[in-house]
Amino acid sequence: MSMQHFTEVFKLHIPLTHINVPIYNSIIYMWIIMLVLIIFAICVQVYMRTVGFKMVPESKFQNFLEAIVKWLYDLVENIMGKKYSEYAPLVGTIGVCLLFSNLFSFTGLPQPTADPSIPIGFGLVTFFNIHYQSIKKNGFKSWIGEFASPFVFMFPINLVVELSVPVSLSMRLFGNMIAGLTIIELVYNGLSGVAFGIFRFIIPIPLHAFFDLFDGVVQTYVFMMLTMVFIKNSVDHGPEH
Amino acid sequence: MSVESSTIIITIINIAIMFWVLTKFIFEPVKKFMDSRVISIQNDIQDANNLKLNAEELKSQYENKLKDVHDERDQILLDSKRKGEKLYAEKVSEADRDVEVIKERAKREIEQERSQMQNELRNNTVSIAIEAASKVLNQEINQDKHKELVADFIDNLK
Repeated sequence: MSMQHFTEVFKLHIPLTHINVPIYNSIIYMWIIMLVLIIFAICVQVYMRTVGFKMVPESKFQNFLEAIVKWLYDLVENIMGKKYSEYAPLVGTIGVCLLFSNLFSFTGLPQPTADPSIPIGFGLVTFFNIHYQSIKKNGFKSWIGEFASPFVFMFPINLVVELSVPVSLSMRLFGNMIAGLTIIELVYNGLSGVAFGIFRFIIPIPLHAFFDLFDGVVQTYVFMMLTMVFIKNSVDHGPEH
Repeated sequence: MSVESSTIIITIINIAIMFWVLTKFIFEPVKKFMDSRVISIQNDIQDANNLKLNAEELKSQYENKLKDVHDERDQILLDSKRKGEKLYAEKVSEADRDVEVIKERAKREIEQERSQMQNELRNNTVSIAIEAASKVLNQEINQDKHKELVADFIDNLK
């Protein structure tokens, strides 16, 4: 059985150019997740505009949404501080997308985060935000000055430290996901030679619970936490702090 | 298993789209609604507190007013009682005075009448006595002189 999970499905031709973008199945899985989330978001909007949220929440749907949004804002305010609640949508988006991606393996298809390009994309989003928010809050001079602190000759070291952030974020996520995927696949392959067919169904269950469910949720949480901490650190280093 | 730059860029675009959709459709409206509810509950509590304070103030005002009214009523009752007593005393003393006056007048009238009667009686008695005497004596006496004599006599009788 091949270990190649992600292959090119088709080439997307960008109109008016000669560029053909290769579309891998991991991207198609992401699009499926996005479609589900966008449909859910539209349902939320339709619900809010037709039924409307009640001051005294009675519907389970409203309670569910309020609980999630409240949990997200509380998390961001606890980790980053009350004045940084503006970053909750960003952290929430990364969290929701990662959670659905990591748990995608329950469909029987490999989770898209096991394709190294996708965790790198997530890591770069956090990386860009760390520096974009720092420049936006404290200005370019303060941001560039951070690299030269405490001494100017620390610049290359600080640069490596900053560049290691997205690498560590994406490689941690990718490593966990590919490890779970590989181990479960190895177990399935090994069990295919076992005489008693029932073992092929029972033995992988705890492995799915650990590598797919537990590790998927934990990695999502870790990614959110690190995103919050890194953004807070970079924004906090401004002149007023 | 290779890193594709196109997949990375598409992932970043995907996350940007999801950020926009989730923020505009879920996070912001739900958070806005919850914040507005917090504000409205705070306002309600504030209003309720204000109303309570107002009610307490009104209550104390009314209690004071009620106390004033009670005091005023007591004062009016006392005043009217006093006035009534005074009036009663006045009336009684007036009546007493009237009684005195009437009694006095009656006494005077009685006195007057009696003296008038006495005079009349005396005059009559004098004329009857003169008539009787003149008849009895059959003699001519100066009537005026006679009258004088009898009057002297009666005066001496008194």
